[in-house]
Amino acid sequence: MLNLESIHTYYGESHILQGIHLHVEGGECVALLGPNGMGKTTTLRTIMGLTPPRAGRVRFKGQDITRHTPFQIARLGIGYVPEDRGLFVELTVVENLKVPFLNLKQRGQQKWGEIENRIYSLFPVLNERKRQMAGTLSGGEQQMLATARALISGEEMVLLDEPTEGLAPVVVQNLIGAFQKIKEQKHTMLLVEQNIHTAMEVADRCYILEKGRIKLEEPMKALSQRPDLLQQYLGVDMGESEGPEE
Amino acid sequence: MTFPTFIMQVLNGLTIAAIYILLASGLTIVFGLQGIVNCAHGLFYMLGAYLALTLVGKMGLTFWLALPAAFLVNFLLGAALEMMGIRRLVQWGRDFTHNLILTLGFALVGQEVVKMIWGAVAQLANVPPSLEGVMALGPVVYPKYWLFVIAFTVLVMAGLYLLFMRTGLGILVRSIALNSEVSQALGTNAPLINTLIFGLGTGVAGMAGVLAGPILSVDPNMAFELLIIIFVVIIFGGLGSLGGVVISGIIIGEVIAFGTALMTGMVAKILAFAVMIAILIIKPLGLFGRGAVLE
Repeated sequence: MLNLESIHTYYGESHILQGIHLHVEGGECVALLGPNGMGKTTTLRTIMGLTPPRAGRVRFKGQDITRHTPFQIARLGIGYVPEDRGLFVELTVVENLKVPFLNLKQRGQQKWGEIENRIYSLFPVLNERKRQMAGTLSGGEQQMLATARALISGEEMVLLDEPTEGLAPVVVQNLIGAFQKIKEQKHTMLLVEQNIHTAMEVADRCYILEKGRIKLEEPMKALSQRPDLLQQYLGVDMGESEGPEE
Repeated sequence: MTFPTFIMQVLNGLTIAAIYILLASGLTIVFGLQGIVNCAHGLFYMLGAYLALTLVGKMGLTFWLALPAAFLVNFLLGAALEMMGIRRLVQWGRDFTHNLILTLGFALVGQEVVKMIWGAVAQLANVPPSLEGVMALGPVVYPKYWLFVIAFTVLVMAGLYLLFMRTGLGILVRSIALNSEVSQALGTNAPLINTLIFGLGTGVAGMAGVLAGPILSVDPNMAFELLIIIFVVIIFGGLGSLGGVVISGIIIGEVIAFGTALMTGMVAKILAFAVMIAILIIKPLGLFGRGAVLE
């Protein structure tokens, strides 16, 4: 579904992505792992057209979207959850959800009521808070709202940038449950994560990005059974912890 | 001051405020949305006034058609300026001062073009026949036309409020003002909406010019003369705040009305600036300012 070929992205003169190749197939959940500052966020921004690459191609369903503008890319059905969630803090929860809805290409075919129901069955707390300003929500609730927005615009695929960062473990588990439900609905996901445990519970396959290059590509299960690789690339000590439940 | 005179001054202040508010609203909305200052805003006001002079005075068109015509012409002209100039500078990532210079240049050129077409002599427009004369409001007798200007402004502001707070387009506009990048990543065609809203602002400025024609005179200086006070109004009210523009417009309008009545017009203007300075010392971002959209 999504293909990145030889992507080189710069911030000014800083060569952040140095020849990235990666692909995501329909229905998959792919994790992009790696230490901070290595280009994971830049990869998502390149896909969304927010930070266009200097060289290389981004293809979505065969179509070259490398030079498309962000709103054109979003309207192809790619949803985006930025690292800082990017909520419209002075709009209500409902108004935040309406933004992607109002921009849907086939808006006539989907009723707002159906979309609302879909979202609230996934994140019931958003229903309780629907008329509240987005800025008054707790961290976990804000992350849910940001994810919900991306689900509305991302009918084909959702890009998530560090969705569990800075959240309490209980909240993280809650979110992971929601991600698993999204995955069960065969919704394609590309997940950037620093937290290996989150990735292990949701992703089918993963890439490890280090210093702007892809260093490894493995099925998630295979990687979780290689503590040496986890240690080497992610600095994770998996000594006593178990892998994901079978 | 007798009570009826007092009421008359209050109404005078509201009439002045009405023109200020109409002009300031377009300017502050565009600043809140795109972070740019349109120095050519006064040009659209002037163009509206001159257009009405010709359409009504020379061609015999009714005032009631001249008003929407002024809106349309200035909407299209403003949209063109935004699409061909401002949008490009934004796309190229230029500093906001570049847009300042662009719009200033556009205004200066436009002013000369107006002078070439209409001449440089000041003229006073005619009040439409249906609004001639005065109306009794209790102890006060007041010109019908001036009451109309106040009422019209209330209608326009109510319309803008409904647009921004109760429609889907309003949600998208506010989302762009809050975080344009994320809004685009959720599918919003921000460049198009920016152009439309810019045109809306300049269109309203054009209508303000039509309305002001019979009250203030129509002359080539009107583009910049009023702009200084309008900048005061939007800074005082808080950049990007429509509510702020209404309140600060009324305050400044009243200060000028009473100042002119009790002292002189010049002192009144100085007083208006003094009020602004005083409030800014207490509230540096203006009455309802939220912090600059720019860095």
